Amino acid sequence: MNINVIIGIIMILSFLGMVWYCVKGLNLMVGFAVMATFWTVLAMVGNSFSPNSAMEGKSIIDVLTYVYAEGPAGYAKSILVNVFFGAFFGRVLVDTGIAATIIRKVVELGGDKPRFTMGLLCVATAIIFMSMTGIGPVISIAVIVLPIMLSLGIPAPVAMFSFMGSIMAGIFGNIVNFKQYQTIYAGFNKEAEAYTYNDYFKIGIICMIVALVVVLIVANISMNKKTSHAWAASKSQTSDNAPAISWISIILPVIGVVAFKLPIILGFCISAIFALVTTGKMKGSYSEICRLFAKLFTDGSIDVAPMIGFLLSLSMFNNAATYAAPYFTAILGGLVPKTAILLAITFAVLTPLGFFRGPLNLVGAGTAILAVVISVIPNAPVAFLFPLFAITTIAPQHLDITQSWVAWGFGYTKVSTKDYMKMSIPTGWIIGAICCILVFVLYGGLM
Amino acid sequence: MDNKQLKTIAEELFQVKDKSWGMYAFSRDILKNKVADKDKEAMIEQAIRCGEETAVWAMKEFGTSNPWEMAKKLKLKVEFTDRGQIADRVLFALFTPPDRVEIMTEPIEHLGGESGLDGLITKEEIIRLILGHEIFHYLEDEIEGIYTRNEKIILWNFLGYKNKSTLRALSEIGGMYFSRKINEISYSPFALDILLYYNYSPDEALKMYREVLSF
Repeated sequence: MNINVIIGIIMILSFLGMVWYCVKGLNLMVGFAVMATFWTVLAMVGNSFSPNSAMEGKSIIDVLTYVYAEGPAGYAKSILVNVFFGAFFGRVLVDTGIAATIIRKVVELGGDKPRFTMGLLCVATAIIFMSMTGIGPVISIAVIVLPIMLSLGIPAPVAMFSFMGSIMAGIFGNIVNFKQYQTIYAGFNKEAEAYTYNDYFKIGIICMIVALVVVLIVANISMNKKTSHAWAASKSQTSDNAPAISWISIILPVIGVVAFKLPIILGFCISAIFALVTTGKMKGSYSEICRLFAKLFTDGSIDVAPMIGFLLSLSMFNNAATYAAPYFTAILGGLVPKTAILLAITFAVLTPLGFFRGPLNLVGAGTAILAVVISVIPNAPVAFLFPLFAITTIAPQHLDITQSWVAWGFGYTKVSTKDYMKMSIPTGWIIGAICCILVFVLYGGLM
Repeated sequence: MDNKQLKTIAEELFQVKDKSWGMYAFSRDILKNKVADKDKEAMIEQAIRCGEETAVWAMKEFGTSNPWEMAKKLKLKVEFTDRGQIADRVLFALFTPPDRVEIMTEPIEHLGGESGLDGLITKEEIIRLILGHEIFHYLEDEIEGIYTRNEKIILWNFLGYKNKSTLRALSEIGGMYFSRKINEISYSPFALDILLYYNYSPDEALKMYREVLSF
């Protein structure tokens, strides 16, 4: 048997080990750093037997530099800055009471009608998470939304699923997430650098709507026909009341980028200032305002701190995947579909492989498969292939138990992973399948 | 705050007026800002009356004031579940239509043997109060035209279409006074909200206690 095939098989087995690791709920930051090291060492061993095209002309130090230095450095430059400013903006929306006010108004619009109000809450949550990012803002919104859903008699598993599902829907339109996946993609295909959020916006919004509809259908099917009543004691909640003009802040970053082509960081900053001014929070002396900004940025950074370590080790794994690609190609290269329709069908059918940071998940083992696919069909248009990978990353990943805020949700709501996954896995699959077909309809002709 | 203080708090809570408990129930309602205080007071009175009248009717209809016997005659499936806290809420019981009542044992067990409530209330009495409350929710589904399910407020009006909504607080108030009547106790079962919450978060329970006294 060819050495490349043997190494490829070991890599696939190690990936299955990673799936087990994820399911066990062990630390992902360390897990991906170990995987990056294992794949790099395996690739270097393979290279000593049979030249690895990805390592051509590189010394061992060059290879190590690419994985352990250039990987995190590239991520920091192109992704982390967005994550930090996105988290800052998220903190502004929470601290000004804008997010809480919008949720309260939405609930007052729906009233004591669990299905209707749940639908409105999911729409509002999805829109909020088109701009917000990080586990901190998710928790800040969750502690408002989830008790409301529970008090409406919505069962805890359905409440948690619909909330997490609506965040996932919002992520389809999230600029920070777009930049993250685009950067990963551009690491293998430079043409993707010219592919902007505006190019992606149409399919992003379509997928967001599809995701919301599917999540709400599944949540409604999972609910009892009649409303349940709970006797529960809860602490009093403070009532935020941000003025109506400030509510537009939640979509200002998206408007700035799409309509005015503003750089995203500037979009976040202008939107944050607008939110602070319209809610009357930006007052006092120059020093006090500076302290306010410093505090919001600090709190935002703390919100995303657990994610940063993970993203940096993930970037090492992404770069290690470049060296692993030839071994995956040796096994899977012949299996990669070469026509648009077959690609769309394959991604639709294999969407569940995006769960557990799997091989169709760009924020997981999917980078190796991306490298294989691009090496087999180098001329695949970005406008077609990128959305396919984005779909099989976003839909499963943000419903997945390996997602930090989903893991937090289990502790908060005491929902069992089994009850949750009975809804999340079929939903992720259905959304992925529908969206992949829509990508073919919209962009298949480009191939 | 120690057990001795808890007993003092319990004694004070047992003296709280029905109107104050009603306002407390409204303060937890998602639509609390949509009803004027004056309207709330009238609604509280009617919900209390509804709960008590339903209790009188039920005791006559089923020939018993014992909630366990009443549940048996209504063929309710009463289960005990070993959980309590979900999110920031401490769940005491859940009624799931058509006929399932879950009573959470965790908050009751947390009360412990030396809770400070000895001589005031027993675990068995707490369970009977909770069961009585859930029976009312079952009856709400069965009795057409019952006040707690028919009092509605208009949330918005668009081109002649009015979106009306019931108020959960009224159901809860009705349930409490139904349970109080059939269990023949003098205080409002709403007091359990604070007494059982205490073992999860004494500080929050103390805040809730002060909040109730402020109404």
